[in-house]
Amino acid sequence: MREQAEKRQTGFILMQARMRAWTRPVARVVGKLQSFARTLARFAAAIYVAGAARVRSTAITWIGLYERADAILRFDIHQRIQHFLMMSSFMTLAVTGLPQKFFELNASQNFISFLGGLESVQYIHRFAAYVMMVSCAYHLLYLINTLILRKNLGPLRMLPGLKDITDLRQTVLYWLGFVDKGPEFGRYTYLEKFDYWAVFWGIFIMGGSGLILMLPVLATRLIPGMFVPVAHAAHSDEAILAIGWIAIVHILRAHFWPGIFPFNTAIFTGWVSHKRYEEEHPLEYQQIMRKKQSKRQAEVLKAEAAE
Amino acid sequence: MDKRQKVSEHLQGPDAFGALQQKMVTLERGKMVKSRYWQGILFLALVLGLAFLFPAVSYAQTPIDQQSQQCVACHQSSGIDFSLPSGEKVKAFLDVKNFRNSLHSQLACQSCHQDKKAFPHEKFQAQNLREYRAAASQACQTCHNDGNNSWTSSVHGLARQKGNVQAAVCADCHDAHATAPPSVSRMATSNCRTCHEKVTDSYQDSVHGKAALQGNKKAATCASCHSEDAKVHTMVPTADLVSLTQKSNIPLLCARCHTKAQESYKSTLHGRAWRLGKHDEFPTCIDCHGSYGVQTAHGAESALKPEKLGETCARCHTGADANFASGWMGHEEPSPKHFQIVWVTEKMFFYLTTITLAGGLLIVELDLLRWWTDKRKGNRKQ
Repeated sequence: MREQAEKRQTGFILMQARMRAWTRPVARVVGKLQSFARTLARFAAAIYVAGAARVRSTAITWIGLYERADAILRFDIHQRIQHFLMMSSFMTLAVTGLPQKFFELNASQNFISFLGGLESVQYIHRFAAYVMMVSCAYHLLYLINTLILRKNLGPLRMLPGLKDITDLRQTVLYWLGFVDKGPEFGRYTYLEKFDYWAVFWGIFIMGGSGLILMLPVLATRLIPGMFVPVAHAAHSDEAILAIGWIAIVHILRAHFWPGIFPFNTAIFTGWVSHKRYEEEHPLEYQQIMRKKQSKRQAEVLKAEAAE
Repeated sequence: MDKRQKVSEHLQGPDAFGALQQKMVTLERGKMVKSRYWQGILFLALVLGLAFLFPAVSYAQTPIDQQSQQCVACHQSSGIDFSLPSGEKVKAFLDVKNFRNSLHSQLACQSCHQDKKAFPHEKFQAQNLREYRAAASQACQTCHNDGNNSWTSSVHGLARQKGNVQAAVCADCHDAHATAPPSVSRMATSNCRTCHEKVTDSYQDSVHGKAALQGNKKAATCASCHSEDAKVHTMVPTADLVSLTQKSNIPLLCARCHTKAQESYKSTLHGRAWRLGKHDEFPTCIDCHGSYGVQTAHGAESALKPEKLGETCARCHTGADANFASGWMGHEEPSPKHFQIVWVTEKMFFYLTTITLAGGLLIVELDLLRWWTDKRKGNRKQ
């Protein structure tokens, strides 16, 4: 009796296993489809719960299409995307480039083998470089669009002028205690301008020399062979300059600063509070407020005229 | 010439390369000489003891025993060669003079030729010369069994184990009746050349080969690259990961003599690719300088002469020409005399970076100091 029962059970288990062997590949595909459908349903539910209007309003806030009473939009969505692309690609380039420069350190050798050897590190480095080039091209197209097509001369405020020299002079005097007050800045301070133009110069040096190093045979069809070691020297030294400047001045002054720490949200959300705007860029703030007031007055006049 | 002197001379072999290797070899040689020394003393004591017992043996003044003298009676005359079933001839002639001077002069014939006890001799089982030599080499194992350092674990022994009958056995390189110390000329012109003709020929034309054959004891021989301690019996297959001739180990191998060159190789882009482990795509020393037929960079036959450099680069950098090659700085750092433009670029960037970063640091520091002073005085709310 018992033996028979055991036999039957074993037979059942065997049969089950055989069936599973047939159904498993089908079940796997079905399971994947199911999980995909489940994810879709969850997204739909989340949007439904949050409310389509709220999602839309969040998007509009991020793009900066509406006005906030407590803050002023300092950077539009294009500038923020450009900064994000630049920031992420710069960090990747630094992280994958430094171990290649200081290849004799054990730490860099370990890091490179952790990432899968020199080949994959170079692959990541080049991918990040393409991202940086894309962000550079995006910025140039953005400039053309803003300056020429939309005839908005705002970006020209980035050009260095006489005021920057007098600002720097007054700042130094203020730091040393000869003057009671620092200078009043416009749209961009002299340090922000330096940051911008350093990147502008750096991206051409780094991109150009990097392309020469990536395609040396092609490059030497056009330029003397001597420029390959020159490009190597330039690429590796300019990188140190860029990383040093970003790490010491940009990160400290723009992000790790009293009142701003741990990081400056202006470049990520685009919004800066009235208080901070007035403090950091008083001349531009006054301009904006004047413009807003005149706009409001015009609206009021329009409304009165309509009545 | 007494025996100890002979033994130590025999053991000297091809000179060691590199300080480390020299040290290793001397240590090992010391050990071996010591053990051989004691073996010699024991052997002498035995011979002297026997000599007192059997005056007839000592009288002969030659260690070959009576039975061996019987062998010599026939085998000292030439023209007694015999042929194998394959048609190859085996020499049965013994040059007694050479044999007396050899290290085996103390041995009786039958201590090696154990199957030749009766006359007429038993027939050979070997079908051809390869089989005959392999069978003859079996006898060497009786005394020369050095464990891990033996032929068995070397490239030849391993190949034999895998069934390669062409792999060299003892008798291929050593003549048991006239054992001479190994020398580079024997390796490059006869022993290794018997099978490895192509590479030994290009070796003979290389800087290594030319110097070694002229008697320069520091020049690399076959064994100095193919084995850890410059001995033929410890040679390992190139495919072996521990082998110094394996691709990723080549820079270490060459650095055993060319220390400076390896240092500068490491700082080049090629050396970085090697150090950082780019799989199989990095060029090592031999890819540019040549392996067996290695030449100096500026030699007459060198592939690194400015006229030929473009072709050499094009081996890896497809499509490279002389203009591409003109950008190669060699194993030298840029200086005002060598690649001035690179040197100027480096200097320019050095000063630019230093001044800019120092200025930036000063700005941040002063700004922070002002903020702190203001805060302390209560001029600022934050």
